[in-house]
Amino acid sequence: MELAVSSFILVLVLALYNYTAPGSLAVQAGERGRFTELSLFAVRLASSPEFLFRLWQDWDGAVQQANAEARSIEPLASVNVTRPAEGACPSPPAPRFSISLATVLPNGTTVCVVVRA
Amino acid sequence: MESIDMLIALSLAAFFMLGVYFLSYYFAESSKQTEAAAASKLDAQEVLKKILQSPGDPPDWTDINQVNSLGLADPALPGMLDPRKLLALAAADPDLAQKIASAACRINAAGQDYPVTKIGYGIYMWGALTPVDVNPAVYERILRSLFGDDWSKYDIELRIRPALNITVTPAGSQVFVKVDPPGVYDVDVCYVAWPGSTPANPEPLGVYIRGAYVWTQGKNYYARVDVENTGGPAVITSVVVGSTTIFSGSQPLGSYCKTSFAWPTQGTSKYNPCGSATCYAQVTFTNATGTYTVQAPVSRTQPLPFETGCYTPDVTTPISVCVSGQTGEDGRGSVSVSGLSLFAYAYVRGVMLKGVNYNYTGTGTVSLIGLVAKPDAGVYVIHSKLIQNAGQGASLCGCDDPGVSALGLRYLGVFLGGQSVPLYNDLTVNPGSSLDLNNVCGGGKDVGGCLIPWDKIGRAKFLIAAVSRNSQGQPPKCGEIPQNDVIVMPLAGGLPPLYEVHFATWRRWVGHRPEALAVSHASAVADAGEITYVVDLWVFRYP
Repeated sequence: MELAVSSFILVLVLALYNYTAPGSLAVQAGERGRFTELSLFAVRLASSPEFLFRLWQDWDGAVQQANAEARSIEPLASVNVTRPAEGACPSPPAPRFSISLATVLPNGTTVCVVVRA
Repeated sequence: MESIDMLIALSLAAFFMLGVYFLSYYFAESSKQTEAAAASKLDAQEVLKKILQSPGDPPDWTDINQVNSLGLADPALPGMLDPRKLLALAAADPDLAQKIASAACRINAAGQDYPVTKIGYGIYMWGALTPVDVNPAVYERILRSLFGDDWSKYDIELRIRPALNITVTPAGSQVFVKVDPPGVYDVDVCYVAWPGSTPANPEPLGVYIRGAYVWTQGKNYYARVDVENTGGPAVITSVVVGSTTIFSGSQPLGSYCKTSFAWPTQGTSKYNPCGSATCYAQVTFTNATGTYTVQAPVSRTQPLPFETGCYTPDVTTPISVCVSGQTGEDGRGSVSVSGLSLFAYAYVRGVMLKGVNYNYTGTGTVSLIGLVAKPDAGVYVIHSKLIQNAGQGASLCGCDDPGVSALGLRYLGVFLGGQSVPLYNDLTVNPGSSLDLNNVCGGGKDVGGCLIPWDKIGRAKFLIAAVSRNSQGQPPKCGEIPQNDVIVMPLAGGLPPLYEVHFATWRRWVGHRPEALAVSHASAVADAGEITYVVDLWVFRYP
């Protein structure tokens, strides 16, 4: 009886260890890498004169085009542009990441470029 | 009985101690491996960042065997990749050997051979783009600069490709552009074409439909028909697209004049004038000899603007025009050309990705002349007879025909792109003359080739050389060399076919991707010249 219980506990400890600690480390590191990629992506978009000018002229078309280009690089990424709320860019919910950057259109309007994945 | 209980208790204690020993060993190893895998995932991002943001060591390296630390940034343009480094890295790809085997050529001047590399129809780069055998010490230096003393536990693999896949298709009196991924892109299309009724394009005089289009924007349909008249004065009486008459009336169209008919003339339409699979546009006109109808198939792509108005015909020089506009939502765009398109170049810009590509149509393998770009001097204009296969004697480069005859050229015009500014007229290049690399074009001498200095070229998008062959010479026996030829050298945006890079340090010890303890991947987009590249990096970590 004691032997069976001891063996069960050992197997349980082993299974729990494999399920948590090693996987967690790898996932955390991988997510940090993807976050860095998306951050660079968001910065590039928010500082692109072509994007800001087109956004000024044709808001929906610019966002649609940004999504088309973003997904060709990162299939899970999506782009949205919002107005600041109470002077700050909101961080909308996302499955994994949500990066929100403030930028200024050619007409001086401040907008928030949101990249999610 | 008690001794049995004691035995069981001791056995359990021993088993537990052994279990703890083995499990702690297992946990340590497992954690170590996992930490290594996790660390390498971060490594990929860090390594990619370093490669893209630093110029490397030496900062101006152009030979992979010089490299102490790998970096692709342009030291003169922060944030941009250096196209010369991409080219040098591409040359380190062993798979390149087959691609460029037929591209190795040479020119001879003052008794000395100089290597040049053929990179397109009639265009060459100075120097030999031979595959570089990478010194194994280079791999060590690169890995050591990235991973320090643990360098031998790592390998990297780098793949660089243009972010936009751009297809340019010159097709008669139209040029089609297709961009992948689909979307609405700003696009500049520059094309070179022979106008109608010229020796190179003996099109009968008359009224022509240069392009007919039906396209959608949102849920609305639009149509346009572009018409040119190279004959006597005419009057357009009707224009029909599919089964829809988009113009009916009387519109004069003079000789050598162009016009467009757009539909709807006001507002928008949700009606598709081309409901069937095959759809044609018809233009009915009246001139001094009667009433006629011409027709052309309709392209379902969004057209770029068509320049209307009248012009003075010139039968000796090709036309070069640049048009700016947008593609449709499907990433397709088209341009109407006043004549027979030979070459087209497209510069495409999305909201954060950009790219270029170009294409010739209907050309053989051997051009009449070659344009050879030398980075520290300019562009040489050289008779093709003097650009020979490397190591195969007196033959044309790209054509193994030792018996080829000399051809005299009697006209050479070199133009700037965009505004088509002529640089030289009536330049004669004679293969019977020796080649002097110091000879600058425009001296009026009988030469085999000459140099156009970079300061003369300025910031042109491309050079155009229009050439007419002296028919007295016997044509070469291999392939068709045209009587009239146009060579176009793009000068902006690099040379897409050569800029797909695959560099891997694991080549130091295996010929394919190795098994590794951990493989991590990172990607980024970066610009070099007028092209946005996607850069993928893999880091391999070994035990």
